[in-house]
Amino acid sequence: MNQQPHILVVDDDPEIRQLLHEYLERNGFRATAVADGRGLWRTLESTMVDLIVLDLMLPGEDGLLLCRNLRARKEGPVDHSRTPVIMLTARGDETDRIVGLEMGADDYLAKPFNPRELLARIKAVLRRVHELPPTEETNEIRLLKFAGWTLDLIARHLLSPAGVIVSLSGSEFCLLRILLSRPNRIFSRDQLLELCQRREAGPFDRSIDVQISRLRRHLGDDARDPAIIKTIRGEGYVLSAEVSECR
Amino acid sequence: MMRRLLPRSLFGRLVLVLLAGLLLAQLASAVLLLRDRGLAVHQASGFQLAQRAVTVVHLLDSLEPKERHRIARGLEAPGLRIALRPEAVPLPADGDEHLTQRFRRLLGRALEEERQFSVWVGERPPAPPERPTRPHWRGAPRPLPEFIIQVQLGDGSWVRFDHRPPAELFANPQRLILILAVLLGSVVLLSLLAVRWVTRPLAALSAAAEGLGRNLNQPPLNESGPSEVRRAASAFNAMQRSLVRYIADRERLLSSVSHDLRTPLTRMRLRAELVDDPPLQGKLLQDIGDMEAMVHSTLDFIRGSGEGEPLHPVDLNALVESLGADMEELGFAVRVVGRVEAPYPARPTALKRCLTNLVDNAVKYGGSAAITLTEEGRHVRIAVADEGPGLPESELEHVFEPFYRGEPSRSRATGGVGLGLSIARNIARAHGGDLTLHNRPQGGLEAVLVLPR
Repeated sequence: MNQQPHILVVDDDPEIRQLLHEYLERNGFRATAVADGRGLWRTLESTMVDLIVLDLMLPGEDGLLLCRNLRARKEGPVDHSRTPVIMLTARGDETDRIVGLEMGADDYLAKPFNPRELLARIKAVLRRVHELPPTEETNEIRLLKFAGWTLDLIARHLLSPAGVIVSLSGSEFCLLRILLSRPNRIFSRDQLLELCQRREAGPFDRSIDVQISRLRRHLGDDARDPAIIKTIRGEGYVLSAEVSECR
Repeated sequence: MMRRLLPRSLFGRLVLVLLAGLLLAQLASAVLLLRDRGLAVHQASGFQLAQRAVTVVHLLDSLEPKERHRIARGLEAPGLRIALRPEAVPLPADGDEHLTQRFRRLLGRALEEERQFSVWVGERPPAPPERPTRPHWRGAPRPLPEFIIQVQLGDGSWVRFDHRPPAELFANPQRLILILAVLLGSVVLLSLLAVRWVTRPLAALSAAAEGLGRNLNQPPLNESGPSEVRRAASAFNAMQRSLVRYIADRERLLSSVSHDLRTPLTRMRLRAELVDDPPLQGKLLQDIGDMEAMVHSTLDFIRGSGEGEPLHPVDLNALVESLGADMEELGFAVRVVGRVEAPYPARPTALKRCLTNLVDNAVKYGGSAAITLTEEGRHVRIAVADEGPGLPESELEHVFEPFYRGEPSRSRATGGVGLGLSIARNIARAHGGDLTLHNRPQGGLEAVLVLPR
């Protein structure tokens, strides 16, 4: 992220468009704001965009359709099929969330959103894309299965081998998701901390070690001889299990 | 008194009324029947006796006085004694006035000619040794009808007839009683069936009304059967439809207001972020946060207690711990004590919302939260305690009412709409459990969520 990242905002409310534009520019981004799908395609034809903030409810082609078309479109001067998308949805509406993530959004935020939260999410998604370039089709995955366990990316909880819901805190979910995205790759504590810093200010973030030990307890992993999340002395943590992806 | 004796159910009352009525009617008709029959028998035997007496009187008149005794003895029959007397004796006074009159007229007509005579008709206890009568109902010997006639013969002497019709004639006819009993029995049986038939749709109606309290969208009642029942069922269904429509309208209104507030709120947030005056910005953000909280909880409330969400086994320990961890990350002190053993079948999102509201309240009003999980026999108990000022006892129940706010200072400081606890309790009850609040003896408030296993 050497240059100012370019953020494309798609929202039909002119004031929100203008305000978001100004807010993002003030916070170190280059921003373009358009009203609808036509504006989106026009901008994408001529410009390189790092991230799209897409309102779900748009006149004409709605956010879901735009997102799916974006993922499918590989021709054109620039391939935007992997440009990260943050979807703005109705609040906590489970179906919107599921559909949004299935259509290929990288994250979602409920309206009315806190602009600082949006900023944090934008940074987190950009960081993730930068650190972990997306694998093929990675965005349409709903479930990650490993060692008998299942991580539900939409409901954001674990399912035990017996099918019991095991809730995770936000940080635990994020950590596990990162570890599962690259099984057998070693992540240092700093990397994990950076990738999982969900909010801007993190003075209260628990240390990674504490989170890992809680994750191990949830997974029934013996801390002295862990089988799933292993400690690599002096380096960090590694998830040692076969991970399969399901829709 | 009357009310206590009446059966509680409509079925019981109808049966009681029908049975009592039938029994009375049967009894009355039995009494009437038996009486008429008694009269008829009486009259028939009176008539027979009169004929016989006239024949005997004429016969005796034509005989020599010497022969009369012998012939009279020969004319005696079971139940009839004939005695010759020189004088008439006064007859007893305890006779049946009415029957005596009737019999006097009857005999007068049968005698045809002018003769002196007197009659007595009445009842007397049977003389046991006279002849063996069948014991009647095993009670005291029933008095039997008796006829006495004195008629003057041509020569001025008198003949006296003592007649007792056979007791069997007047015994209660068992066949008749049997017929009445059979009739009564079959009518009772039929009326029981009819009453059950009538009250069954009522039972269905009351079951439906009861079910409506729990599930507004239950399938409508079957509109069949007799016309009254059909009308009641269709009225009930109409009521259910309008209730559903009313609630849907209300929810649509609330939710569209809340949804429409989102765009202006988003704008305000963005504007506030662009304000360069930090104290002003802080206050604006605070206000906007309050408004957002209202919109959020209103939408949560409308979304209801998660009836639509399927049950799924949930690890309650992990649920509580993850909530605690999230709150800790936000800088609040949350402690979790205790464990429950088995997973609990719950509506996961709803239950999480319920517990989130409780923990939110605890840290908002009490500064910290101590969550205690205990397994209590057939219940799971989750207590969320804080170290705040608690609530006046009179408020402990009120705070569960939707949109209720306690003292103004409480709500202003925290910006709630007064829905958090209503939502939480609705969810608890939708799980078959309950949510209550207590002031802890050592200070602070404790919310206790009890979920049945």
